[in-house]
Amino acid sequence: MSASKTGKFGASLANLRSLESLATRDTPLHRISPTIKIAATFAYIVAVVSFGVYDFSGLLPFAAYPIIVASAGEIPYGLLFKRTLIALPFVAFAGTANIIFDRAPVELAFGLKITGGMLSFAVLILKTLLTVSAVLVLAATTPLNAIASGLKRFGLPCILVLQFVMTWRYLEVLIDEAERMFHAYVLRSPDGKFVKFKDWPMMAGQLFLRAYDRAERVYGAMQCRGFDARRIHTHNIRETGGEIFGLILFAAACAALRCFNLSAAVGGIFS
Amino acid sequence: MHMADALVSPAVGGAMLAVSAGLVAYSARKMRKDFDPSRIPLMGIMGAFVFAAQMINFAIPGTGSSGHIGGAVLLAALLGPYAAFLALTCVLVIQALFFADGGLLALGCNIFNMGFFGCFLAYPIFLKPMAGNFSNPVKVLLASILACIVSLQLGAFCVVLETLVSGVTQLPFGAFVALMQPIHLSIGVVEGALTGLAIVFVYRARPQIFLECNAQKSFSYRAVLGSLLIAALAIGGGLSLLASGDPDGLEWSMEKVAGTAELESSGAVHGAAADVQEKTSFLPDYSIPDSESAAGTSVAGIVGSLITLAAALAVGFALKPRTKRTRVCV
Repeated sequence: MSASKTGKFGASLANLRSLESLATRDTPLHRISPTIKIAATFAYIVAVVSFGVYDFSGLLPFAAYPIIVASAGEIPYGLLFKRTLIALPFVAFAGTANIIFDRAPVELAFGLKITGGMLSFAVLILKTLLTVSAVLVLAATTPLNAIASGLKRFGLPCILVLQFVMTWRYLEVLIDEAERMFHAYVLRSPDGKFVKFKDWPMMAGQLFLRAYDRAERVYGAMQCRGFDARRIHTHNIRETGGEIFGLILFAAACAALRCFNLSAAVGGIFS
Repeated sequence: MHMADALVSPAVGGAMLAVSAGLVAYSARKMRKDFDPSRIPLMGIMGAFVFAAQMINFAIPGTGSSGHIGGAVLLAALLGPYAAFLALTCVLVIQALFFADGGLLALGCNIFNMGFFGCFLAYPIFLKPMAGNFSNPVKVLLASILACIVSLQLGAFCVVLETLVSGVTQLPFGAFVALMQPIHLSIGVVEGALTGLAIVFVYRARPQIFLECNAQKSFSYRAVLGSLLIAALAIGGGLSLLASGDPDGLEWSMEKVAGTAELESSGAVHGAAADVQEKTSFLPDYSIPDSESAAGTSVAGIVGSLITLAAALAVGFALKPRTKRTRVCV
């Protein structure tokens, strides 16, 4: 059990770095201003969650967005899908209630009938997959510093942006210290097992002290190099006219697809 | 307790985003006033610590589910409520962006549910008055258990309200509450004990952290009460307006079910209609009698919020040591 825990912890850390390494690549998608991408993601999510609880067919065309962005941004589908699954348990819990409580029959094509609860459950899962993957493709195409710059451009307080960047960077410090401690512990324990349960509190406490002291030293070093908390540097973002036009177009497309059931229209042509 | 985007409606997500943005702006302004740059590394590393702690899930005995700690009370104890709220906000933003834990539209809900009650309610009303300067381990432990239980109970209740008002689940109110509250009671006890032990440990190892924290201007109860009141009014008023003023998704869907489904009997239609009525006023007692209007519900919501707030304050005063001079004025 302990081994699986290390595995999980290690895997989470690997995940942490994998998205960031994707985000630092250079595709046309990566070059779009972060503000535009954040706003577009927001418009998309609002459009998706505003769908009615039974409107599966109307919602389906929205799947095009994460798929297209993932291929344009060279994001592996497998990674995207695996990460999306993390969000499912709680949603599935809320959705299962629909299956139990909503038994009104709904007729599908060819006289096939399912209950309303099954349909709304499917819609809820689809909404989750779409919204989560939309956020993930944003994170995979936008480096953290660019997101921070975007947040500042949106008018968020300087101190929040600073805290945002610091949390992310100090996570690396924390992980480094944790890895060092775990290595030292494992090398010194004769049976080579992972940290014993009784040693966890001591390890956690030491980890805090070591990470805190190192964070102070890192901050001291930053100050020596001229870091000033009151003047934090973020990239200047200038959205081009084309980008703004593209955003408006995208939002309009979302709105149009929200009002107009594309699946039904396409189906109507062929049947 | 992280809510996903799919669980909130645009109205609920937007309203809660506005509330949380207001709280963030307020905290940032309070921090700017007497900002000490030497606290930056502590804020950063504590944010990272809580982030890591939230990744560790522990099993809840007897329920088959698992939970993780929220960390708001711990952050508030070490950083003070304003910095703690900002730190937790950042943790949640990073989780939403990179871990698919919570969503972008649901961010406002998550910040409020997990940050507000711990930083602005449990900390000033329970933890600070009961634990004092954190020198007595037993007091610290008891105070943090109480603070964590209170903040998680209120947070979990908000999750229930926000999900139900969004209208995506058919789970009845009572069943949802009966599921959420006990689970978060056990999480609260575990988190409270862990938080208490952590505070005691840090106090012994690095007491200067608390000295600096206490050296800052004493906590302004007036400001907290003000923000609490505004938030209570916003939620009480705003959400109850939404509850009755935004039934379109459900009503529409019910119509659709009743319309497309072959109507076997009028009983089914009546059942569906009653269902709609039940869902749109899922807290029927919250409406003023003889008033069907949205405003009626809203007034009831605001009055209810005020009463709840008063009750919470009364509990806080009752538990407060008498020797201390109270600076609270309502």
